[in-house]
Amino acid sequence: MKTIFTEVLVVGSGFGAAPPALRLRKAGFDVLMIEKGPDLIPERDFRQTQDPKYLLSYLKGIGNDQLGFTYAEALGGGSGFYEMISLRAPSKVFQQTDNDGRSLWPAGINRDVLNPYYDIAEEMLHVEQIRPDEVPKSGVVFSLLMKNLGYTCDRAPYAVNGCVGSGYCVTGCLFGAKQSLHLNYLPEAKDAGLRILTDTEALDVTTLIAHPASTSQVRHVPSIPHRYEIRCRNTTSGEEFLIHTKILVLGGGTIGTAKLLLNSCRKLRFLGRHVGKNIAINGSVKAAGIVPEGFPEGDMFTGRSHPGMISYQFFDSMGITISSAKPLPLNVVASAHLTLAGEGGHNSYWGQDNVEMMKMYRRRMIVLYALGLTPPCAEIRRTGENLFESQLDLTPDLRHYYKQTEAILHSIFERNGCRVLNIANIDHEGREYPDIHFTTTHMIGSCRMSDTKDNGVVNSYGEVFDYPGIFVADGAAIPSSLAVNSSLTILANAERIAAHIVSTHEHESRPRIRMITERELN
Amino acid sequence: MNQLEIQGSEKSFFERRITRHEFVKEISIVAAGILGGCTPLKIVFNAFPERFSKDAHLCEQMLRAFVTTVIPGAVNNDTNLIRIFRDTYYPFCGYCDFFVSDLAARSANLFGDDQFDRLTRQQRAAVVRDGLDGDATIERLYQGAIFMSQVSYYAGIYDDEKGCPLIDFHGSNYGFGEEEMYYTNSSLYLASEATSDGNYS
Ligand SMILES: Cc1cc2nc3c(=O)[nH]c(=O)nc-3n(C[C@H](O)[C@H](O)[C@H](O)COP(=O)(O)OP(=O)(O)OC[C@H]3O[C@@H](n4cnc5c(N)ncnc54)[C@H](O)[C@@H]3O)c2cc1C
Ligand code: SF4
Repeated sequence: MKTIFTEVLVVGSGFGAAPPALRLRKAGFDVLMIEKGPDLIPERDFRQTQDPKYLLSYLKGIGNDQLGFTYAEALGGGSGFYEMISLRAPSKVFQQTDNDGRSLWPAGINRDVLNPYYDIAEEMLHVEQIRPDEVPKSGVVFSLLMKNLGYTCDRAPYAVNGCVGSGYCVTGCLFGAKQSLHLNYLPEAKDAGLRILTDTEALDVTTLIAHPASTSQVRHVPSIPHRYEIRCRNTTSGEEFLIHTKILVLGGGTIGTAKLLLNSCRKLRFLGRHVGKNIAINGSVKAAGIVPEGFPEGDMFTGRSHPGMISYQFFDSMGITISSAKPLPLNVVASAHLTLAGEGGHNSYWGQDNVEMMKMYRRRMIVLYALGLTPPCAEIRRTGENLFESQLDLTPDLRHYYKQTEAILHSIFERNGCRVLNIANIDHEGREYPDIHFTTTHMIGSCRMSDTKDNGVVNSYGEVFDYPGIFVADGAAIPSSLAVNSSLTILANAERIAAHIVSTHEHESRPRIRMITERELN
Repeated sequence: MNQLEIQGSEKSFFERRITRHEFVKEISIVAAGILGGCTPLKIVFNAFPERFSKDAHLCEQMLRAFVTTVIPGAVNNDTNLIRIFRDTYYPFCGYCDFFVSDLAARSANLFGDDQFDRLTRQQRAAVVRDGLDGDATIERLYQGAIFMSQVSYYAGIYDDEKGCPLIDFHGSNYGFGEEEMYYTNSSLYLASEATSDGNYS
């Protein structure tokens, strides 16, 4: 079988993968990146469409009756499709403990420690707080709902530059405005000599030497043996090949990295029992309402896809933040049976009632969502050769959290005179889920950082216990819910892990000198 | 009534479940998986009235009447109105003729006329409700057909530029005017802020 040799292999190309690829390449390491999904050139490949064929070619999911996780598989990972809201996790996030009172985060990692890395991440992505005059109409209406109740509501920071407000952030920005990784980390790393193979999936990992742990003190990269073998497959041709690497950085995302390590458990026998476990769902709860006549109109379709505002009003007391959202019609139709609550009439998710509601959708409907500090209680399991299932324990506490949070969202609507909508999430057969159903794109922690192997998969620098040189740098390493959107924290933590790898390894080769192109000279 | 034999096929269900691409956006949580696998059950047709598989025009009329029942106000002669039902990307395509024949059977049963498209709107709605009250497989078939109608029409999936005028969805666009996107006096409406830069400490 064909074998490729490299010093560093980075699996994935999203927020967790991009910083190590860039920093290690710039520090002189020979770095290869593989990405399961297709190559993606924004201006060539993105479309303003709601065609499921287009969306489903990039967006994937795993779930069951209790939960649904969504993620992207393409060059740049979730960055191509995210809504660019870029928030730092509040300090309290790092103080969460488990049922035994143990800190969920490894000792010494807190907001202050992450702040310099947040700075770097924000600079790379041009993150700036949205100006008051740029807040989309639906964000203004959400803020007004909060203001009317005497609550605070803050303008959110965004990774965007030169937005024309087309409203299609989640199908991909055609205007070079959204700061996806295709505009910063990835081209910069490529310019520095990073090699990228797209349509290439890492299938499993095995060791090439009997005792990888014996290499833990070898920090001079040329002296480190090729210690890990990764079996890969070209996803278009089906051809398999091997990659031998000295350092392996996993950035396949919370689900992708868990799957890869679960597939490797038999070969990496010391991985421990936490792989795939302790996934935090970030407490995602939604509600929708119709603003009363005479209220300023929102607009689901104009301006950027995220409405621009976040409220921390309930963060200290309840551990939740509240934002609003602007789903496109496909999203709202395909996700839920929405019906108007109350009035005793026949409120159906189809027919005239539904049409009347959909007619109000653009200008009078407001969708709120809360993110919160729910415990890491979801899991993904391997059920067969490359087959997986997810699981969430709907504990009484979690049910209570859901009900309480939903009640807060409803009360914001009701006290403003809005009509609350019933939301019944539907399954893949179009039927309503029988019970509470959590859905999120902010799942984190399937291979969490921890102080000890008893409690996690990787140490505080993302290095897998007992497997020196394998690092988890993506959402999988983040050990707790964040109560805010996840990308910036994943990016900052990946910068921290990359800085650690660079600072603890010696490499004599210098990075290639970057030639200034003619275009730049002009 | 058509005679149906319903074969449970766990294997095909399982395969569909694990290969289906359920996609779920943050707030919206799109369970579009139905588009990738409408029913776990294989339906084997016996004595299935050939009329519906042979007469494409009749089938089309019935499907158009179905969509306009589910979405009153949808334009009956819209070229894309029922395209999704014949789109081979979606497995529903394989059940479409059967679905039409079931609509006909229920119409005949309830109102003595098997041409669903000739019924009044109220009668057609009653037929749809009757299907939704059917056994598990029939319910799924009707759920799937409603879902596909709504996805296709509201989201305008076959015409990116057109969107869905019924709900004022403009489809693809390359930027709005400032006054469309923003309130010029937005500061009047904005609540006070708890942070200096949007990040809570
Ligand atoms: C529609 C949407 C909107 C969002 N909006 C926001 C937002 O506004 N703000 C925010 O903060 N967050 C947002 N998120 C969440 C954010 O995008 C994710 O938290 C983030 O992308 C996770 O980063 P990651 O590096 O862990 O994984 P990802 O970005 O998912 O990257 C993982 C990559 O690894 C690849 N991969 C997986 N397994 C393998 C393998 N075995 N071999 C090779 N490659 C592999 C995948 O194809 C993927 O490209 C959104 C997400 C979605 C889907
Ligand atoms: S709203 Fe702005 S950032 Fe989003 S796709 Fe349009 S131009 Fe790009």
